[in-house]
Amino acid sequence: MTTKTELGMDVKDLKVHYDTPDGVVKAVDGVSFSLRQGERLALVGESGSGKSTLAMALMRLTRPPGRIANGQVFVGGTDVLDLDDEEMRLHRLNELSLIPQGAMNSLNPVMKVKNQLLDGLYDHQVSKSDKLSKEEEVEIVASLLKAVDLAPQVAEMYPHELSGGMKQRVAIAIATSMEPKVIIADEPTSALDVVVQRNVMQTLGRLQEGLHASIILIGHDMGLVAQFSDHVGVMYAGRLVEIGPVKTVFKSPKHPYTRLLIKSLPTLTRKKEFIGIPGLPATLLDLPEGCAFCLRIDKENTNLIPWVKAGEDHYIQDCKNCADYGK
Amino acid sequence: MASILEAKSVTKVFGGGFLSREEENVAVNNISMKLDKKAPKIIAVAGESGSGKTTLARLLLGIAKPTEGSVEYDGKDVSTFTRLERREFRREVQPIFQDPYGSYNPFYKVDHVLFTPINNFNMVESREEAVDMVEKALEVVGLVPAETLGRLPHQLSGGQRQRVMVARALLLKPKVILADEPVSAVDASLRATILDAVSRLNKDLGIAIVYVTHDLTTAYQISDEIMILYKGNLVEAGSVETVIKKPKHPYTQLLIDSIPEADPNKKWGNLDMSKTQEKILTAPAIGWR
Repeated sequence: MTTKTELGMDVKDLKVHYDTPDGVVKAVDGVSFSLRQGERLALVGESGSGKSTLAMALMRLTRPPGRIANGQVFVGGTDVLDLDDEEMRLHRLNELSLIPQGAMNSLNPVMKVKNQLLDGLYDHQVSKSDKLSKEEEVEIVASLLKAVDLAPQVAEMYPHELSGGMKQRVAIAIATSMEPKVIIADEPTSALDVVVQRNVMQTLGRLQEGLHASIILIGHDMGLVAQFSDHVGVMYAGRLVEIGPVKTVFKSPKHPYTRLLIKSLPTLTRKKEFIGIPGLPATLLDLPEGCAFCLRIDKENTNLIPWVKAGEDHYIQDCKNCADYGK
Repeated sequence: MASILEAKSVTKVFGGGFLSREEENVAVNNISMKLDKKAPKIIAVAGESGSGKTTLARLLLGIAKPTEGSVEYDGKDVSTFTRLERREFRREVQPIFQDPYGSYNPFYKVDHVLFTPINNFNMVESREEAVDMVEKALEVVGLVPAETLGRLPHQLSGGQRQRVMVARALLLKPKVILADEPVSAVDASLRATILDAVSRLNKDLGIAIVYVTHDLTTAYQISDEIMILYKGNLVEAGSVETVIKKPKHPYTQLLIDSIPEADPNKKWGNLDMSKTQEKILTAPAIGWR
């Protein structure tokens, strides 16, 4: 049995709610999972499934009207939801870092790359008195850039002088500069071409392995998930419906939503009928206590759906009503 | 083969003129392609950013003029059209753009994008006829008229907005549709339904389709033929089965190799970009096969 210290992250019953004039939107509705140190977990789901909201909540970057309504998030033995603002700020980048969606647009357009890298380091270091000498700064910046396959000259450039792939690498360099234990990458390659995407993901993977860090990759590109991750969790309507080793989940998905998601992917192996997912994604305002997926296929199950072990390291929301859909 | 739309050795160069301060950029370099009039097909124009695919689409739509070469519609050079001929051309060659937000005026209901072209081209005698046409077009793309009409753009999902654009394109009974990345801005799981609608426009209504994309997988799923563009040049072209399954040009091979296959048992290999770059720049183009 893995002890708490071997876990990169342990999330227990996390709930993120938004208070809107129309009522409470349950964007993340009781998500629990564990991440081993060094593991690559992908979290997939449609737009509106709650995955980006989850990413922000793990970093405690949820903004009003959103709020963390419940849960615990253990990173290296500490519940980050329990820390005060200053302690959390130091935890960010140090222990837990985020490569946000559209990271290339999150770079400061009027700062040189080197200053953005140093900015993060200075802002989050534990001791405020450690100012680096000019030589040390140059050295650190060069080594951070080298780690993401960027030439040292990039340090003196501005974001607009870089290509999309290069900007993404700078974002990765910033996110890994303090050697965090957990890296959350929210759709890190969505605007990039396949060749650049492959390069960037391989760089990220190498860095992660070098740091023995854990990664949570958030996205909806199942191809990328299959290529990059060890484990995959599928989210629907703010809840985790299936989680397990990537090979198992792809080969024998147990939840009907996972099954449909995999079936709807176009492949290069053969031409086939287009199989979309019927209906529309759930509205998070009126989520039932029971099975959210049943509603998608015009069924109903109002009982609390049990979280069940479906195999080695493999868990699902087990709703008997819709379990066989799409088989 | 009689063609409905044809690019004849088109080249498009931006900047670099005598008084220009910009460096010369050859966006499209001597590319030829044709869409068969009798047997309308789906041709994919595939390539990465900067490959020239959108510029080529704009040349085919007649909204950009080639620096060299010509674009012909039904055998006649597009740049020599009279006003009347141009109007017909505009109706018969329809675009679908990438951004499912950008094509809408956010203050108007989505009905606006559907009824405006009908009115502009004087296609019907009465309002009832127009409503009938619009409802039928929405149904073809799998939308329920009662749940779509009367809504503002932000009240529909990205996938729905894009499907309305597909409905709009077919309302005018075009001969050719140019779809520029019609599903990139939409969730992976919703792409299938939109692509299905586009595919049926070709199979059921005989509309020729040019599908511009960087996604080789969807290109494979829906097209008959494919053209691979790299930095403005056509490096390989032919039937989609041949080009995708047996790519000959190193760039095509690199592209296909880099597609993340949704099969955890088939991982990406490791990539040495410097060697590959060299191979790509020196390899000769493989023509249509």
